[in-house]
This record gives sequence, structure tokens and C-alpha cells, in this order.
Amino acid sequence: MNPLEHKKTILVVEDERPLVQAIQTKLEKNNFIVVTARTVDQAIDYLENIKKIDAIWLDHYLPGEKTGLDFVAYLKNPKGAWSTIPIFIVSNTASSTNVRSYLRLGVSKYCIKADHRLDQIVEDVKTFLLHPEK
Amino acid sequence: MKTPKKILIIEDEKTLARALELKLTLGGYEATLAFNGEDGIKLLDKGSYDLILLDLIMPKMDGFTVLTILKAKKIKTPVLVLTNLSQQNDIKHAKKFGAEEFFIKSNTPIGTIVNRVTELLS
Amino acid sequence: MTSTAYKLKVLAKEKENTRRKLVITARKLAATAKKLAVIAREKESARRKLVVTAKKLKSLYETLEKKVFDRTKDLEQIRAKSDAILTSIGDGLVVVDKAGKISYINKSFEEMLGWKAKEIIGKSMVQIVPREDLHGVKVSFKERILTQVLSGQKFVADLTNPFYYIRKDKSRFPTSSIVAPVNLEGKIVGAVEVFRDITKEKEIDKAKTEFVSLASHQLRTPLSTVSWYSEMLLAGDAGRVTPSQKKYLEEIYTGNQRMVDLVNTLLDVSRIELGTFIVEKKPTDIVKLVQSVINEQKPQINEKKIRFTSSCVNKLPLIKADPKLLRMVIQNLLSNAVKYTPDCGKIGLQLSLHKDRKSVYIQISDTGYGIPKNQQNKIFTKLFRADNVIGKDTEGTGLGLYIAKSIVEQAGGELWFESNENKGSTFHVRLPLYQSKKKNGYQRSFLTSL
Repeated sequence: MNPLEHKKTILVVEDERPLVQAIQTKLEKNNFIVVTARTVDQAIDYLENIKKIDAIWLDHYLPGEKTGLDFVAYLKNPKGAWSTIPIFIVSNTASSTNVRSYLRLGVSKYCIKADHRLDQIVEDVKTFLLHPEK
Repeated sequence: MKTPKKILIIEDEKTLARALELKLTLGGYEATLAFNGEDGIKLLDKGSYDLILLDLIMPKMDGFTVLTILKAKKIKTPVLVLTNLSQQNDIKHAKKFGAEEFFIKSNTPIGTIVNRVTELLS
Repeated sequence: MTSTAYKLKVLAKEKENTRRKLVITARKLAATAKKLAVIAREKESARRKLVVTAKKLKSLYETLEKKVFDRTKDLEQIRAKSDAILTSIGDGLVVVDKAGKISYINKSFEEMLGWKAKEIIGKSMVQIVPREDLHGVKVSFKERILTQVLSGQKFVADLTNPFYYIRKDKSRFPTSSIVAPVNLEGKIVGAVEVFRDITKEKEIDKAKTEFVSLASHQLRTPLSTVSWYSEMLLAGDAGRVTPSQKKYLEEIYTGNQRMVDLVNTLLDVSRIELGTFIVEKKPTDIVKLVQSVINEQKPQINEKKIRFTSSCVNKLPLIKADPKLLRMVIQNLLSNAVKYTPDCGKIGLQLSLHKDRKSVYIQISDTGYGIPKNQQNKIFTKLFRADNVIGKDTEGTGLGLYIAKSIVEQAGGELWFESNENKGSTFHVRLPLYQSKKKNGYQRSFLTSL
């Protein structure tokens, strides 16, 4: 690995502990810097405090009152600083209403956890970030 | 050197049968596999075993039939029933047909089963 | 001359008098004639007016007659329409008066129950159509929904209790019905009941449950496979395991265990529904059982720094119950209290003889999240989890209370609760000591009646 290569920082918003660990490990192996949050409020907190987040990995059902959808709506506020950060929804909810809402809000990709291998999802994220115009 | 005790495993799910074989072999036993009741009975006709691990739901001949045949042939080998049926009446049934004990596979660690084998054979 | 002239004069005077009288009379007559003429004119005018009025009346009458005719036709049409509607309602319909006597039934009623309208109009609905539960126990007059509705009581349907209507030929079918009072000027003057034959729905429900049962059994094989192989890896049977490998394997094992628990729960639920859950009652020491469940929960209680107080009497008479099932109930209630109470909260458990001296009483209270008022009536239904906890704990299946209630009721007891959102909940259980509902019990089906 080229030491000068810029590592991207990814914010992972997921509350299931075993899954967070697996996701974090896999992403770090793929050269990401990983920050994890369990709730929307925590995630917003990190965004405000960490200078550069290059991507967001987001689950739908989270503890607290806000869901991933609320978070995405907040992020995509055109006046905010985060509306252009690519967002990847990785969730086990497949409700078509939710999927449509997320896509309409402008997330980059929607993945159903149980349908994909973790390494495949991570590959997709890497590819997308390298070629965002796809 | 002591001859290892012989365990007959009659189980139609091959992966589970192999897991039992592995664990028992590690425990110093000699394990033989049969994938249905018919093959199991054939093996019992040809040789003798110290203990039988028996599944209940199997093609060609199920565990209850095997138990009946064992009784009819007066084979006294202890039988541990391993199954995924879990109703009280299944348990009673199996015991009535001569099973020594009854384990629900998905609820019982394999280590526990092997420990019980050891207890019964010591 | 004088006498003749005098006579003539007198005569002339008389004639003059007569003439004057005649003139007066003539004048009077003239006046009278004038009056008569006026009267005649008035009468003529009145007569003319009458003729006009008579004409108007006739035309009005004809208009009215036509209107009545049209209106009658409209009403007949409306009536024919509502008859057609009432007849074509697939559901049975019966209208009763204040005394519960049948005043109208529709065709579906006749077809479903085998009675003809003329046979039963005027008779008591509750008597003509008996109602019974799954086991053939008749519902008494007092308990019938119709009776309660007619007497002004509010009736809340118990969705977990299926019941049957008995036909004229004594056969029966499972029913779902709605009863509403008819109010006129603030008074109840009758009631309307609409009911349906839900045999088909119950069959579908049963098929679904059998499917769950079948699928659950099939799931157990791969679950056993994952469980045993990860167990063997963890035990080092396939070689030494590094600490981080051990961590990964433990996650696999734990995740798999969750699936195993869920499958077991699904199987329990499907058995309760199909009525195949076999209950084996034996004399059970509930004090020991409760203690054992408390000990199981102690690690969790300590981890969350919850202040737990229990007040259990030392000895209670043995209960005739299935200890396995009883354990499930207490485990569910206590683990719910622990799960849904935040760190540093309080949980209290009370076990004592009930004041009726014929049952045992258990109370579990917590200072947890509580259940929102508008969701309290669903808390015992399958797969229901209140909104305020779904986000906080993703592990609940929503089946525990459903199973707990089924078990308690089958044992002849009761399970109820009070709760306030963000203040806490208190669950109560009453279990009878000696009576057992069914000796070699097949559990009652708890299919909903809808």
C-alpha cells in the first residue's frame, strides 16, 4: 500500500454489535478509516465533529426515535454541508416503500444484508467511490 | 490397548451424522454411519455395537420402526434418540419403544451428547 | 151631499192612505229588492269564487294524487333496493326489538342458519340461535352480546375467543359477528347484528400455522449443523483456534442460538394455535420455580444495575401445572421487565397466596418504558411489539406475551397488566391451585375469531 495514498473515512451507522465489528474489520482490511455510530443522533454528532467523512454506511432500523430515513433526509438538506456524501443503505428491511423513499432522497445504493456477502458489499462501496459517476 | 467402544449412528442428514462421527472419534470411540433405518438394521444384524444414536424421521425406515425391530430381536444395546421433533408425546413414544434417552438436536450441544455417551458406557 | 162627499172624502183619504202605504210598501219592496239584488250579486260572486276554488281543489287533488302515486312508486323502489341490498349482503343480518325479538332477517341469515323468516319473526333471537364455544359450552342469555348491547352495556369483543352459532338442524359453524344498538331519540329501541361464517378463514389460518410448524421443523436441521460445527471449532476439535478466531466463532454460535430460540418459539406458537400443544400437569413447587427463574435473570439484572426486590412467601401449596410451561410464563414476564427497564431502574416480584385462597398470585412490576395507552389492547397479540421499544431492543420476537397468556388461560388462570409510558408496567398472574381444566389436556385452540 502506498503510504501516500489517501485513506477514505467511512461512517458506519449500525446498532447490532456483532455486525458492526464484522463490517469495521472488513472495511479496515480494505483500507478505510472507520467511525461507528449506533444511533442517528450519534451519527450527526460525529459528522459535526469530524472534518471529512467520505461515505456513509447506514442501516435502517436504529435505536431511538429516528430511522435511517430520517438521517438521510437530514443529510440531503441542500443547505447543509453533507448533501453530497455518498450514502450506502445496508439493511435487512426490504419494504419497497422504504427502498423507494431512500432512492428518491438520493442514496447511492441500497443493499439487503442477508442477500449479499460482506466482501461483495465492501467491493461495491469501493468501486462506487472510485467511479462516482457510474 | 483397550478396544474402542463401537457406536452406531443412524441419521439421514449426512452433515449431522459426520459431525457426530468426528466428535465421537475425537472422544476415542469407533463410529459407524447408516443413513436410514434399513441400513442401520442390516449393520446390526452383521455386528454388535455398544451404543446406538438414532434419528427418528428418516426415509425407507424411520426411527420408531427401528426401535420396534430392536425390541423384537431382543437387542439390548442402549439407544439415544436424536431428533428435531420436540413434542412431549414424541418423547414418551420413543421411550415407550425402548429409547434410553431423547435429545433435541437443535437444542443440545454436541458435546453434551458425547458426554452422555461416555456416562452410559462407563 | 155632505154624507156622500164625506164618504168620498173618507174613501179618498183611505185610498190615499192605502196609496201611501202602498208607496211605502213599494219603496220598502224596492229597497228590499235592492238589498236582494246586492245579496244576489254577492251570492253570485261567492258562487263564482266557489267554482274557481272547486276547480283549484280538483286540480290540486289531481296533482297530489299524482305525487302520492309517484312517491309511493319511489318508496317502493327504495324499498325494493334496500331489500335487494339486504338480501344480497353475503353476511347474515338480524334486527331485533328492545326485547330481543326478531323483527327482520335477511336471506343470508335464512341460508346460514336454516330458519325461514316466518318461522322465527317475533321470537327471541338468543333462544332461536344458540351460541357456544369451541368445546360446546353454551353462552348464557346474560352473556350474549345482544343481551348486553340491548341493556346499554358497552361490549368489547374478545378477539381470541372463537364461538359457533347453532343451525336449525343442530349443526354448527364458526362465526364472527358485530352487534350495534339502534338508537332513536336517545333510547335503545332495538339492535342489529351482522355475522359471517368464518370456516374458510379458520381453515386458511390453520394451513398457515401448519406451514409455520413444517418450516420450523425443517429449519432445525441446518440450525443444528451450524450449531454443532461451530461448537466443535470452538472446542478446538479441528485444531487450535486463535483468540480472534474464537471471537468470530462465538458470534456465529450466538447468532445461531438466536435463530434456534426463535424457531422454538414459532413452534410453540403454532402448536398453541393448532391446539396440539400437549400439557402435562404435575404437582409443581412454584416457589422453587420462581426462585430458579430469578437466578437465571440475576446476571442481566446486575449488569443493568437494576434494583431488584422480591417478596415471596416461603411455602405455597403445590400447583397442578406443567412446570415447563409455567416456567415459560414467569421467564417471559421477568425477562420482559429486565429487557424493557433502563439501567438503574427498579423491578419488584411478589409471590403469594391469592386473597381468594384458591389460587396463587404473582406480580412483576418495573419502572421501565411502559406500554403506550393506544397500544395496550394489542399487547397480547402475536408478533406485536409496541413502537416505543422496537427501536430500543431489536431482539424481541413479539410472541412471548401471546404464549404466556395462552398458557395461563389454559391453566384456568388470568394474566393482566397496567402500564404507563415511561413510568413502568405491572403484570399480574393468578393461577388456580387445585382445579385443572383438562386432565389429559389438549390445549384449546386460540385461533382468532376474525
